[in-house]
Amino acid sequence: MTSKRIRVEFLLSLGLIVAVASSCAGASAHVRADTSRYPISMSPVVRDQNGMLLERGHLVHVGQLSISSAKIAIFYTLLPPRTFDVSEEVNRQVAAVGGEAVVNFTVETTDGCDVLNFFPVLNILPIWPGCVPVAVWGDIVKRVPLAGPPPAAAPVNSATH
Amino acid sequence: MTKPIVVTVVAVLGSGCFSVTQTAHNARVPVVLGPVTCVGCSPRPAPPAAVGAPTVQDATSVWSYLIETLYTTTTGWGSIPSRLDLKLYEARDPCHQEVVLRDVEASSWAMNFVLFGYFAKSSVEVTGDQVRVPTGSCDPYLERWPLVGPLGIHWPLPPPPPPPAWQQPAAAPPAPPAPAVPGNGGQP
Repeated sequence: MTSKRIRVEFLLSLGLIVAVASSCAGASAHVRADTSRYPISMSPVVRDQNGMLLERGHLVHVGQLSISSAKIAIFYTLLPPRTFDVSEEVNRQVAAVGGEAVVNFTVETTDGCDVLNFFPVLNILPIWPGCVPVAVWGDIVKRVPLAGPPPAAAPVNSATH
Repeated sequence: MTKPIVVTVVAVLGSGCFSVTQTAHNARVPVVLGPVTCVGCSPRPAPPAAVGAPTVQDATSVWSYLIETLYTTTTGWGSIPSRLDLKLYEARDPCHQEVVLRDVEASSWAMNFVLFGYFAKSSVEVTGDQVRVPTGSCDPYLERWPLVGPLGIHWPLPPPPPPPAWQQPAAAPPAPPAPAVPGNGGQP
């Protein structure tokens, strides 16, 4: 009976030590494009003003979008709420190459912040910062002028024959 | 005692090796982020969430862990790939559908249990609404893709649409009447 009680107390103590000594750090970021002037699509297609689906044959690749950032948070990832607004960079990079839209938009994160997130002992403190690296990229495209109907054949002047 | 520290140091030094991406490269419907939903359109305010609108959610993640016990050390990692393509592939009417993303969240965090191990995770989650575009249309004269995809080959294929009027062959002019042969009543 006594040995069982000792074992329970040992396990409880061990659990308490682990709970106190455990730590967490990191961050999250919400990717936004609230003021973008160009459509951004995660798929390879986008619509035009008339609602027509512009697919591969309608679009020509004119450049590559690439943006990256690292967002920091404290209080075990909770504060402050982070947003990663890509609008300004999208507007700048798309305009620079004369594009009209971004397709194949991709969001990537890595464990590249583990130096902070894993930092021993200190990341027990709520003020220890954690971070998340975020990279976004995509294809900058513009519309291919659609070929219209072939020009009408010149009328044959029968008077010349 | 030193093994967890060594392993943690190795984990820290090896950080950046894992990455996780979220995209929809094989989807045929637009998956739009931001206020501009079409080429040449002006930004519009975010529409209120339609009641009952189908929601699209997907999370892709990668994680690693280490569990230290008195006698063994267990390490591992795993990942969940992006399945946004597959979920949107089931959209049967891509000409009139699109997805408006409400939230794209990237996160990375690690949890340490001193002397006992750690768990680390990086993820990208997307949430969006499937909306119907009443004025949507497709160009029927492009290749009819996806002919193949995660659900296999479409068979039988629907009949191709008729070509536009300007591509149709010109109607043959009416054949001139056969010249009548005198003497036999026009019969050969």
